[in-house]
Amino acid sequence: MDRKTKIFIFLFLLPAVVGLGLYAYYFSGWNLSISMTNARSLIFPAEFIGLGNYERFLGDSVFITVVKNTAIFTVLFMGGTLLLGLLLAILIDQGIKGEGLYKVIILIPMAMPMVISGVLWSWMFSPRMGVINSLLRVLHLDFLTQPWITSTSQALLCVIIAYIWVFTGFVALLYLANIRSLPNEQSESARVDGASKFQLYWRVIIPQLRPATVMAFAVLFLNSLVAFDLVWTLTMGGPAGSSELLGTLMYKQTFQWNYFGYGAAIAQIMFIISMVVMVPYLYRSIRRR
Amino acid sequence: MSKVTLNGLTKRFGKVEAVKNVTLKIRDGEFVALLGPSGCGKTTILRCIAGLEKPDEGDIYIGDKMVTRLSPPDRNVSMVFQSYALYPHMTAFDNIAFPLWIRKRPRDEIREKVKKTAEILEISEFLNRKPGELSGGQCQRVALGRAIIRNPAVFLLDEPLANLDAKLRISARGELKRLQKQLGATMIFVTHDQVEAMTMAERIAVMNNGVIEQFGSTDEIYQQPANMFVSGFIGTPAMNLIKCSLVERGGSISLILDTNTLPVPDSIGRALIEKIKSSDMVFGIRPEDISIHEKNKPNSYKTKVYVVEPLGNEKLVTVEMGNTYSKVRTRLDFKQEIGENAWVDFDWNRAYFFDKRTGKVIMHGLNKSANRR
Amino acid sequence: MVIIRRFILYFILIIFALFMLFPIYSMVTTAFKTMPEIVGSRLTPPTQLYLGAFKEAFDSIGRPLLNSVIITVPSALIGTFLGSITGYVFSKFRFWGSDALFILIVLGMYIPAQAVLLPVVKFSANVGIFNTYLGLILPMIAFSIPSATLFFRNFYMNVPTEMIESARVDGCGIPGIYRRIILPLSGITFAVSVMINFTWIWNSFLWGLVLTQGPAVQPVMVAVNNLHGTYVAMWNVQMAGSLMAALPMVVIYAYFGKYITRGVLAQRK
Repeated sequence: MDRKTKIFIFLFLLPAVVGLGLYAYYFSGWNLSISMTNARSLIFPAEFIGLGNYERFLGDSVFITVVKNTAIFTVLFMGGTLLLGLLLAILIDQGIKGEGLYKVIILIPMAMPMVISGVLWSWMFSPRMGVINSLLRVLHLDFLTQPWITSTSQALLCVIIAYIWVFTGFVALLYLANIRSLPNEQSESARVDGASKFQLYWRVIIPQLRPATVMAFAVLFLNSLVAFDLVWTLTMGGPAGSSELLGTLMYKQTFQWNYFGYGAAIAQIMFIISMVVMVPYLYRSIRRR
Repeated sequence: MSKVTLNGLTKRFGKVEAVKNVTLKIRDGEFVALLGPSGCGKTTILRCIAGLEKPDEGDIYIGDKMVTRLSPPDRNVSMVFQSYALYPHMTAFDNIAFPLWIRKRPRDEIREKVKKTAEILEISEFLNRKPGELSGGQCQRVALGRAIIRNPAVFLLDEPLANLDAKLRISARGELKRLQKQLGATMIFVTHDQVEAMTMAERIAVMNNGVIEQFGSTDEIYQQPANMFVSGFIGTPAMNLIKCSLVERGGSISLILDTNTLPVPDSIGRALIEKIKSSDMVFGIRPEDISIHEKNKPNSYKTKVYVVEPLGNEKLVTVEMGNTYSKVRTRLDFKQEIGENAWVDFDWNRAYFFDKRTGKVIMHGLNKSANRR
Repeated sequence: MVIIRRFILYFILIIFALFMLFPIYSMVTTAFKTMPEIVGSRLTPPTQLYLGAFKEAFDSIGRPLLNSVIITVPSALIGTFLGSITGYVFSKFRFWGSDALFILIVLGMYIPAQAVLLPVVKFSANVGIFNTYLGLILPMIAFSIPSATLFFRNFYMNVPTEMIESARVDGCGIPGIYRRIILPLSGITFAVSVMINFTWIWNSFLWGLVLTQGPAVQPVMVAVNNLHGTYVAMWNVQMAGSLMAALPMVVIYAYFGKYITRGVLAQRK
C-alpha cells in the first residue's frame, strides 16, 4: 500500500474511531470506574469502594425480584416471539392472497416507537377504561376482565404481551426469508417422497432455520436485556417492583435517586451480560463470511 | 507506446511463490500473450505490471522508466479486466470518458475523443446505454474503449475474450488483432486458451508454476517447443508424448515402447545417441504427423484402434500401442472400427525427443539439434 | 378438505392481523374522539372527526417534534456517511489490525446505552453541551456508526474488486473511487441506511430522557411520555400525541418498509 492510500485509510477511519472510542469505549470504561465509587453527585468527589456496589446489589432484596422478573420476561418473551413468529412464517409460506400487504401489516408494531407502543398498551391494559376490558364487557365476558397493569401478578405479563406484539412480525419475516432461501427442490422432493405438509416442515424445513433463529435470538436477547422504553411507559417497573427489570432499576437508582455508583454497577452488569452473549455471536457471524 | 521489461520479478503470496524470478523483454508495439494453465502466475505478472500487486523482488520498466514503486495511476498503463469492470451506474459514454474525466480534461476534448474511440470500436450507437443494457460483446468493446481512449504506454488485458460466447470469441480475436495493429500499441494479454494465444499474439510467453517455460514467436512455440510442458500445452489435440528407451542392437537403432520395438531411421538414431546421457526418454509426435493405414505397410507399426472420433472434415483416431495411447489425425475415409488393427508410421522429421527427467528437448527431427531455450 | 384447511389458514392469519392492528386501530379512532364519546364506547369508530385532542397534544409536543427533526436528520445523515466510508475501508482494504478494529467498531452496536449513559451526562455537562442539540446529536452519530459500518461493508463486499482496481489504473485515488464509483453505486443502500438510522434515533427515548431538561431541546418521545404522565385520563390527547409522533415512522415504512426489512435482514446475517 502506498503512502497516499495509507493516509486516506487513516482519514476515513478517523471519525468512526474517535466517535466510538469516546462514546462507546472511553465512556464504558468511565462507567466501570464510577461503579466502584459511592458517587451520589455529578460534582462532588466520591470514594473508591471497590466492588461494594456489586456486593450491595447482590444482597439487595430487589436483586431477587429483578433476576426473577428478567428470567420470566426473557424466557416467555423470547420463547413466545420465536414460536409465534415461526408459526406465522409457515402460515404465510402456504401461498396466501395479499402476501405483500400482510407483511406490511405484521411489521407495523416493529415500526412503532417503543414509547408509543407502551402508551398504546397501557391504553389496552388500563383496567377501568381500557380497551381489552371494554371488549370483554361488550362480549359479555365480564368475568374475564382483569386488573392487568395495576396488579402485581399481571404487570410483567402485560409487558411480555406488548413485547411479543412488537417483535412477532419481525421474527416471522426473518423466518420467512430463511424458508424462502431454501432450494425449492427440497420441498418438491419431499412431496414426491410422500411427506405430508407437517412432515415437510418438521423434518425438512424447520431443521434448516438455524440462521434465522440465531439472528432472531440475538436481536430479541439484546432487546430484552436493555428493555426500558416500553416498560417505562407501560408500568414504570411497578406496581411495587413487580415488573422491575435491569433497565428500569438502573434508571431509577441513577437518575431518580442519584445512587450513581450503584446505578453504574447495574449498568456494568448489563454491559458484561451483553458482551458475554454478543461477542461470540458477532465473532461467528463475521468469521463465516 | 513503449517497451516493457521485467527483471527478475518474484511475487509471493504468503509462502506460495506465484511468480519466480521472471525476466521478460517485450518490444515496443508488440502483441504478447502470457499463456498458461490457471494458477501459473500469468495474471499476477499482469497485475504487477499494472501496479495492483507489488513484487517482492525484481524491477519493472515501462519504456526506460523504472515503475516498480509507482502507484497504478502514475504508470500510464490501461487495463481491461476479465469481467470488464464497467461502472454500472454510468452510460457507455461516461465509462469510456472516465479516465479523461478523472484527469480533468476539457469537455470538448473528452467528447471528441469518446466519439473517435467509439467509431474505431463501432459502438457509436450504444453510447447512451448503461452496461446493464449492453450485450457481452458490446460491454467488451466499451471496456476496450475505456482502455484505448487514454493512449497509454501499454495495454494490459486479462482474459479479454473469456466472457464472450464461443462464436463471438472467434470473431473478437481477429478484431482485437486488427485493433492492436491499427493502434500500433504494446499489448500484453493473459489467456489460458492456446488457440487464442496462437491466433492473436506475435510472441507467446508460455508459463507454468510461476516460471516462463518458453518465450518465442508462435512458430517457435509450435515447431520448436523447449520442453515437454510447452509441447503438451500447444496444439489441439496436444502432442503425443510416449515414454520409451533407445537401444542399439546389431547396428540398427530402435525405440522400446513397453515390450514393442520401433525402428528409428538411422540418421536420426545416430544423432540422438550422440546427445543422450541416459537411454530413457520421451518421444513426442503430433497427431497430424502420424499416418494410419488399414493394412500392413513396410516400416509401419501395428496398433489397435481404441476409439474413433469423427470431426466432420476428418477423424481423430486413438490407437493403443502397448500400454500407451496416441491420437492420430486422419482422413474421413479411414474405415477401421474400435478393436480392429491399424498400422501407423511416423514422420520422423517431425519427431521430438525429450529428456525424461528434466523434460527439456534433446532434439527434434526438423534440424536435428536441440533448440535454444 | 382443502377448503377447510384454507379456511383455517386464513382464519388464523386474520387473528394474527387483528392482534397486530387492533392497538393501532384503537389509537387512531380514540385520537379523533371527545372524552364523553370515549367514556361511551372505547371500541366503535368516532362519530365525528374531533380535532381538539390533536390541538391539545400539539401544544405539548409541537416544539419537541421540531426538536426531534433537528436532532434526527443530521444524525442520520452523518452517521450513514461515516458508516459508509468506514465500511468502504473495511470491505476493500486489509492492514495490520483491520479485523480487530472492525470487530471493535461493530461491537459498539451491542453496548447497552445504560452502560455509557452516566458518563455521557457527566461529559456533556463538563463540556457544556448538556441540554443542547449537539449533546444529543453526537452520541446518536457515534452509535449509528457500528450498524451502518457493518451494513455498508457487507454491501461493498459485493462490489467487484476488479471495478475498483480498474478505476485505480484509470487514475483514481482512494477518495476519487469513493466519490465516483462507490457512492453512486450505493444509491438505495444509502437511503435505506439513512432510514434505519432515522428510525432508531427518532424512536430513541432514554437518551433524550437523561440528556435534556424541559421542552426547549427535548425530543418528541420524551414529550409523549410526559403527555402520558400528565394527561392521565385524557386518552384522546395521549393517542393524538402518539399518532403525531409515530407519523414519520408510518411514512417511512410505507415508502421504504420493503427495503428496510431487507436491509435489516441483510445486516443481521
